[in-house]
Amino acid sequence: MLELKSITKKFANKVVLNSVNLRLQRSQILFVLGRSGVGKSVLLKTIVGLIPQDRGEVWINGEKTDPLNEEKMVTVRQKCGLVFQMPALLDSLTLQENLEFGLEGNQKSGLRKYLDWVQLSEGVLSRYPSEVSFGTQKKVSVVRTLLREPQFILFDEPTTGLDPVSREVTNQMIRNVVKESETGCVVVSHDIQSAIELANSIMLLDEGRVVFEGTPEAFRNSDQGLIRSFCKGMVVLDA
Amino acid sequence: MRALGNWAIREWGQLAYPTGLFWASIVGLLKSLTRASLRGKEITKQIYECAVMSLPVIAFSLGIVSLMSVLEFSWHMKVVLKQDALVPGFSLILTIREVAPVVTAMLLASRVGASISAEMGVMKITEQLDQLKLLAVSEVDYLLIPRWIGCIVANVTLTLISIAIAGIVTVFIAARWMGYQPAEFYNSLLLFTTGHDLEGALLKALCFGTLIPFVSASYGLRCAQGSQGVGDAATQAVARSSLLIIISDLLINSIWWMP
Ligand SMILES: Nc1ncnc2c1ncn2[C@@H]1O[C@H](COP(=O)(O)OP(=O)(O)O)[C@@H](O)[C@H]1O
Ligand SMILES: [Mg+2]
Repeated sequence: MLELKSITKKFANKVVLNSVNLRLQRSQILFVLGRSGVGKSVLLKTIVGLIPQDRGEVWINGEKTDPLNEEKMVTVRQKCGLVFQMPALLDSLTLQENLEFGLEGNQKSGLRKYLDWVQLSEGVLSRYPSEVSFGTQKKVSVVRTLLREPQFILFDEPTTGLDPVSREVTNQMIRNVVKESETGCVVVSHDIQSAIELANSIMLLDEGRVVFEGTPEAFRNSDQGLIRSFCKGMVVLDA
Repeated sequence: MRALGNWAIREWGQLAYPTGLFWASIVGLLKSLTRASLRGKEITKQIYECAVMSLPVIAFSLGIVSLMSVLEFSWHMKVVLKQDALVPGFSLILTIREVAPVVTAMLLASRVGASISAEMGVMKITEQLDQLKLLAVSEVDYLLIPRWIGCIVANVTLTLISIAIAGIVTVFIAARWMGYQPAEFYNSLLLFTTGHDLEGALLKALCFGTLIPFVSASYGLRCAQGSQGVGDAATQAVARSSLLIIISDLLINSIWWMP
């Protein structure tokens, strides 16, 4: 289980996360929604210790993490993968080299399957990141994380900037990884439609706090102002 | 006075981070030597980038500088002493001790230093450095050690090549305009220059070749957000490396050649 206990993070007197709690079991999908700049990416980065929290604790499978101990964080990051908002591929390596970078021999076996999941052909892997589209880079960065087979995966806006087809592919990929490997997924997204389709629970952040947490139905039926305007966005998207 | 003190402390503090990187690299290098896991491909690429790509501009600059120095010395000597017999020897010892190591390092700092800090800066703002952490690959092992080795190899070979070029230019001028025979010139050279000078030049090359990647990386790795941040990091890297090259040149001179 992945558990955050009152995580608080300030940047230069600006409170970005204010006592945020979160619980996620394996095989569950949690969508985190919120306006841009509310601190969603910061939240994911604190979980894997890229940004140390000011206060609060992160527990993974009953073990408390220590973001200041880089060596211990290595094992935490094996259990809990993060797919960045931007693809963050190493641009001096080909896509193939990016996928294999730092990987152990036995971890390469799933490559075919994962490429299939995101609908990437192997032919493209000999290219460099700068030679392929943003969408392809993003898919490669997803596969890079899948190959390590973590127990939890944090996706930071996996469908933002993708076309509707790739968005559907990405959603299906998340379903697959949950079903096949019992992975627990935290998905940060602006895509209400996908959230309602996929999520077991939805969490809404505003001004550093969790202002809603519950099932997709409860989310849709809520009469909170912010949630209504989020859902209105969805209706417009549908039209 | 107090302001000066504060300034000195601040500048000194700037050195803490590159020094930390340096120790981390020593440790990383020792570890990878014992594991025989140095990144051969990456190192070769860095040597190529640093040495081969910088060769033309450095060869050209050093040729011109040694030409100027012989002609200039010669003019002065003729005015004062009415003869310029010792000029090629003087000129060459200046080149070996000072001009070749410092000019090479300065040019390398502006070329390679800027590129190291900009590359690392871009990696930082595009979260590639964060990604390295997630992959449990240390930035020191992956980025810094290959560049360090590249810079050392580049700086040492380029310094030696610079000395050779300066030697050839000096011989040519001496033979063409000052009526020396090459053998005669060689003897006058040995009057002044010793192995100690050459060792000093190599020491400088090693020292500057270390200084450039670590100072540059320290600005790149701590780069601020945005393209502005990357630009600043590159500027700072070149400015600081150049300043430190001059300061350490002074230090080495005072240790190596002072009686
Ligand atoms: N490393 C950092 N240093 C200072 N401020 C930061 C840093 N990272 C994020 N922030 C600030 O934290 C806030 C939340 O950012 P972020 O988590 O990226 O938002 P989003 O919810 O859109 O992902 C923003 O105001 C951003 O400026
Ligand atoms: Mg974000």
